[in-house]
Amino acid sequence: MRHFRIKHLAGAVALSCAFVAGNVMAEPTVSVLNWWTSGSESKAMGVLQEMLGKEGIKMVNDAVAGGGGANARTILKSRIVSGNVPGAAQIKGVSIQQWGRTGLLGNVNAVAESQHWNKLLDPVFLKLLKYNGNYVAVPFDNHRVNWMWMNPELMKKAGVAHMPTTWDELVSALKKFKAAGITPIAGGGNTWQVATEFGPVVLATGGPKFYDDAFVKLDTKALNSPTMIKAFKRLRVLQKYTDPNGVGRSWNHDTAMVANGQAAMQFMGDWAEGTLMVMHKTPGKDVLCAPFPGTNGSFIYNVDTMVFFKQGNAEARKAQDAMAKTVMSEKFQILFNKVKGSIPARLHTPMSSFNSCAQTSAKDFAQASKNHALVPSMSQNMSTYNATTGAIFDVLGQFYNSNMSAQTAADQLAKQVAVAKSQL
Amino acid sequence: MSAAYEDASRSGIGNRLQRLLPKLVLSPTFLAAVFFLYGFIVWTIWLSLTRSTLLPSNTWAGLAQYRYLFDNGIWWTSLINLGIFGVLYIGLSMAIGLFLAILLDQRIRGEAIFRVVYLYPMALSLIVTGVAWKWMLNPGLGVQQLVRDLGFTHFSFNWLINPQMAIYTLVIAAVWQSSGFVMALFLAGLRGVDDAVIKAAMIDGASLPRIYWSVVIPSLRPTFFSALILLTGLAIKSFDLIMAMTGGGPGFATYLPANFMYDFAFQRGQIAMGAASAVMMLIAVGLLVGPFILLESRRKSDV
Repeated sequence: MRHFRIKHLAGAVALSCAFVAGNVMAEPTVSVLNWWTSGSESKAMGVLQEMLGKEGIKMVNDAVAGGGGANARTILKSRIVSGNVPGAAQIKGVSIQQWGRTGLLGNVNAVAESQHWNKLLDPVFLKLLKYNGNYVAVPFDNHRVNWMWMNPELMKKAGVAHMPTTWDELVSALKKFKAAGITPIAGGGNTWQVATEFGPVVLATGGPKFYDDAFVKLDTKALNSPTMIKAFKRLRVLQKYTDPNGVGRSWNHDTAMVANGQAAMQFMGDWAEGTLMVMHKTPGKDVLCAPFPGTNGSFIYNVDTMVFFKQGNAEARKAQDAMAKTVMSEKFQILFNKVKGSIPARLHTPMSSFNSCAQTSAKDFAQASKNHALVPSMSQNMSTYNATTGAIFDVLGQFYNSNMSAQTAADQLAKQVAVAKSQL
Repeated sequence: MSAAYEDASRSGIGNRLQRLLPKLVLSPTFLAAVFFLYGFIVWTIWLSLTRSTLLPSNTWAGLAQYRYLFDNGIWWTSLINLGIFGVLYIGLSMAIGLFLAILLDQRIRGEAIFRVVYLYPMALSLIVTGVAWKWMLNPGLGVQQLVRDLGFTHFSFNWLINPQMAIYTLVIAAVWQSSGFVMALFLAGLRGVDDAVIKAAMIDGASLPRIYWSVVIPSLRPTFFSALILLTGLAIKSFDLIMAMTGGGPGFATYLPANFMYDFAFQRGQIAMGAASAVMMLIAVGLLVGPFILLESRRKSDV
């Protein structure tokens, strides 16, 4: 027993020495910390790994499952605290600025310049990727959050002639579905799903400028305004038409319910396409897509980005540059986004091989960009820090699961957001 | 002369080594325990007194995080939930466990099989059983739908989706998991009771329930104590069951302090506030379990 233990210890020491030595001597390596672990997502990361491998760059796919990324973020923090900094990590939205302030981020300015990122990307994204004027991140995809998915067969059955384009049309469609004995909406099982519905509702109710005041600038007046109260009232309407048994049910199960004809519609970002494709359904044909009623011409975006961390040796920096270059290549952006259900972050990428929903999404993005109608997603942590998003979620969760009045909810929203901001 | 001296000194070193060896062998685990357990407890306490958000920082904040914590409605919900969950979970697990143990104690045939059947839930991960319970308790899929399909169309059992009742559905699953384990503890205790005492009571003409109530159960005091300590710990650190069954919902109706800690420290990037809640949990365990341990150790030293 004693012998065994000493041998064990010696083995562990030898192993860790070998590990350290290995790290120093191997080919250019970049470790990419992410939470893309579902079948299609890890396949997409495999594409990146393969493309980098051809250039002699080794990519270590440090995928951490679960918790909507919370587990991966926890591991990222513990790795940083212990000095084992990854080459790149999945961080997005305003958090990039928060991480920039830690002084830990490196940059890929050389690649961005040689590839002319300033022409390849929308100005809104450029702002997102830069900290202090340096390119600290690379975008993988561009998700549209304000989508509505509907089952065409159930529409026929209930006598809903076309996809609703205004709030009133939506309400009348909901009534028709209910009268026909069909569950109108699948969703709302978790607070983030409620928030994913609420974002488009706010955009439809107040327009892009109001959305920006409320969820980007976090203006107290906007958060507790008649417009916000109206938005809460609309959310209550949606809740009344939602299948009440959704508690704890995941969003992809909801998507499957719509695809299988158990519920008429779902309000969810275009990542629902990934689920539809796994079910061998064609988005835009077997399940119809349209912008959330009243948000036609606007675009709530959710961009997945990998942020680069400072690396000590030149080889590791070389690997980071190679990764940034490959991710921004047209080939990778097409391959990756077709699997994920999103559209390329890189502008002017040929969309002919994408499904009709993705094509609409790309067209609407260009349109919305011209009209200054692009807004970041609140529900996907794009527009506010996690602490603030959490405060918004708390109010939404409480409102959705009780009979709280819209007025009280708006009051609470303004108050809780102010409290969360003061604690940072 | 010199040879004799060498001999003596060698045996001296040998003796010293022999005395030191257990300490030497134990010291790595001891150091590891001190560092990884108590070191991190101290670090957590320190973090709770700072302004750490995304990453640990050393900016002093005093007791501000505790003030934020006690201003937070969700924290209070978590505490109330823990009270409801803890009392029901511990009480029911003990009652059912004891009842099963007494039944099994009747020297029935096939006892081993029953023991395995009752103990088996403990062998399953709560994440796995939580998902199964989630489906069973979901009104649209589980028990309610089943009974309705049998023809009782007005039957209603929708606790899981009712914010006021959801916490009780967690109790059902948790008790199901633990009562078999508590039964095993009590059964071991029951088998330790001296047969002679029971026989004496029988000769005095006491009925079987009376014997259990007045003689056997009082002598199970140490077993009650161990079960209580174990279940209290399990209740306070309950986390996976909630994640699997309700994710804290509807809204945050089923948050427990452990979920609160995880959410604030890791999801929301408020590490200091998460640490403060962790410290509160530690204090709660200390306050609940400490007196028991003191009481029990004093009883032993008295004897």
